[in-house]
Parts: sequence; C-alpha cells; structure tokens
Amino acid sequence: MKNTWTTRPRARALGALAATLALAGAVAGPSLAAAQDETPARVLVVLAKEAAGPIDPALRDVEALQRPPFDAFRSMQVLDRSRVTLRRGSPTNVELPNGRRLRIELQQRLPDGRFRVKVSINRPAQNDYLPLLHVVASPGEPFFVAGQSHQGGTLVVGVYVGDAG
Amino acid sequence: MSLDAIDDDRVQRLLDGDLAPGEADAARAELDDAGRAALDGHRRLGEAMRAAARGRDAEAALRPDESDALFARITAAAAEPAEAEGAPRLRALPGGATAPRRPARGRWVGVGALAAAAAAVLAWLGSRPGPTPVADAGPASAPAAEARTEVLAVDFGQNTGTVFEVEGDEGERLAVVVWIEDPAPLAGGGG
Repeated sequence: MKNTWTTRPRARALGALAATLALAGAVAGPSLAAAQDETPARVLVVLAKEAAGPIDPALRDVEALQRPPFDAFRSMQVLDRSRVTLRRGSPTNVELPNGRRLRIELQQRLPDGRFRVKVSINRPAQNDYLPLLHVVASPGEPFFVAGQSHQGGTLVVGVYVGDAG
Repeated sequence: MSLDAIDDDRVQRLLDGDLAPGEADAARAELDDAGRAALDGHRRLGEAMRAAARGRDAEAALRPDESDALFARITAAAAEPAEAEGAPRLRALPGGATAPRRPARGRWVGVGALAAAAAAVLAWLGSRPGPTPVADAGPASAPAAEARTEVLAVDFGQNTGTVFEVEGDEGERLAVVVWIEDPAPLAGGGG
C-alpha cells in the first residue's frame, strides 16, 4: 500500500511530463518544419535609365546599385517592393511592371544557412525571358536580374532571400 | 599583376591618354613588369569593347534604352580569347558550371564560363579603374568557401546574358547580377 501511495504521484508526474513533451512536440515540430520549409524574401523592382534624373532615396542603402555597372545609370526609380514568403515546393509569383512574372521557388535550406532557390521570369503564352535560374542565396547578399527593357529604361530586379533581407 | 604602384586616377588617365608625355613616362616607370602587362591588358580590352560598340548598329548601341544590346556586344567581344601574354586574367565566380543543354545555341551557361566575360564587362563599363574587374585567378578560391550567394546555373533561353558580381571599395562582394538582354520589349509593358 505504501508503494501505491508513492507511485501514484510519480505516475502523475510522469504523465504530466509526457503530456508536456507531447504538447511541446506538437507545437515545436511543425514550427521547426516550417522553418525549414519557408523563408521570407523581398523583391525590389527598379527602373534604371541612363538619362539624367533623380535617384530614388529608397535606394541609398542598396550599395550594389551605386557600383559599376549600375552607376552608368543616372536615374533610378523604385517601381515596386514586395515582401513574400517562399515555401518549399510552392512557387511564389511576383508580377513585374512590364507584364512578366517573376517566379521564385524555395528548394532547400542548406546547413550553412543559405537557400537554394529556383527563379524564372516569363509571360504567359510568350517566350520565356529567363527560363531558369538556380541560385544558392545567402541572407543579406541579394542577387539581381537586370536587363529587361521598360519605359525607355532597364528593369533591375533585386531578390533578397532570408531573414537578413 | 599589379597596378597598385600608381593611384587609380593616374591609371585611368594613363589609359585615356590624358597624361602629358612626361607624366605618362613617369607613371610607366613606376610600374613593374606585371603592372605594365596589366596596363596593356586593360588597354587591349578597352579597345575590344569600343570596337564592339562601334559595330554594325552602333547607333542602336548608344541609345539609352539599349544597354542590353550593348551588353550583348560587350559580352561577345569579351568572350574572345586573350591574344597575347599580359592580357588580364579573369577571376571566376564561385559556383558550378553546367553542361550546355542546347550547345548549338549556347543557352545553358555555366557560371565559370561566364565569369571571364562578366569581369571584362565590368572592366570596360567601370568608368574608373575599379578593384574588381581584373584579378589573379589564384587567390579567388579562398573566399569561395564562405556561405555567399552563388549562381549555380542559368538558362538564358533565346536571349544572351552574363553573370557577374558587384564589389565594394574593399573588394567585398555586394551582389551577384544576372544580366539578360531583352531583344523584344513587351508591347504592353511600355518598353
């Protein structure tokens, strides 16, 4: 009988611990999986022209656009800024001002913190502008896709993948 | 290959022929053999780029909205092999090369194969002698192990393009750029 008295609280404690662990697993499991399967990203669309004009103040912090060859452009205007969530296996689309569509798909989060992504730019029923681009993106180091003609200038599309973006 | 013996402004003026004869001789005298070879490489590269820009439709190349066409010409010219010793060696971007999927059209392009053209593009487009375009191939492999953005492969489709990196004042990489010509601006896109 004595043993019964002592084992009941122990059993209750073990039960509570198991329930806690189960609850923690239920909560943390999906979130950990989600952390592996999705990441925030930012897409910056800039219209750059060689004609003299203003440089959008929002680009002051984008140092890459102040360096060659981008410094050949004497005016830059931010046309769009998009914050998106990239999900593994589910492409994210961003409409570009020229009617094309930027498609980004998260493929893998690498152990070193980088993200392997697949990118394309196309327009329905037309030849692809950029059929396929495979990038391993480091958070904080953007990659740009530039060269599309638009309104007498050139579109510069910057993609920041990860939390540092 | 070093031009460090003289400052950037003098290098640029030397390349542009803006130095007085005496100044030019003095600047050259300050360079070692490798520096002079690098300088000659810069000059040959610049001449190739200018020749490309003066091509059949140079007028179009100079239109502000035709920078993509200009890039295509530059890329083509830069892709030609260096003819002489002393031409700048070009640093490869980190990343793997991809075998051509359609070799006849050259659509799939590995980053390594593009790096030479890309660096040459920067060498020419940079209006000043920046630190990035021409560099020794050897030491570049060291930072490649860092977790940086890499373009693994790109399919330019029917277009022409190149991949290059933008670097800061200290040679640090700021971004990777995929530049693709846009031969057929969209009617509905306004450009």
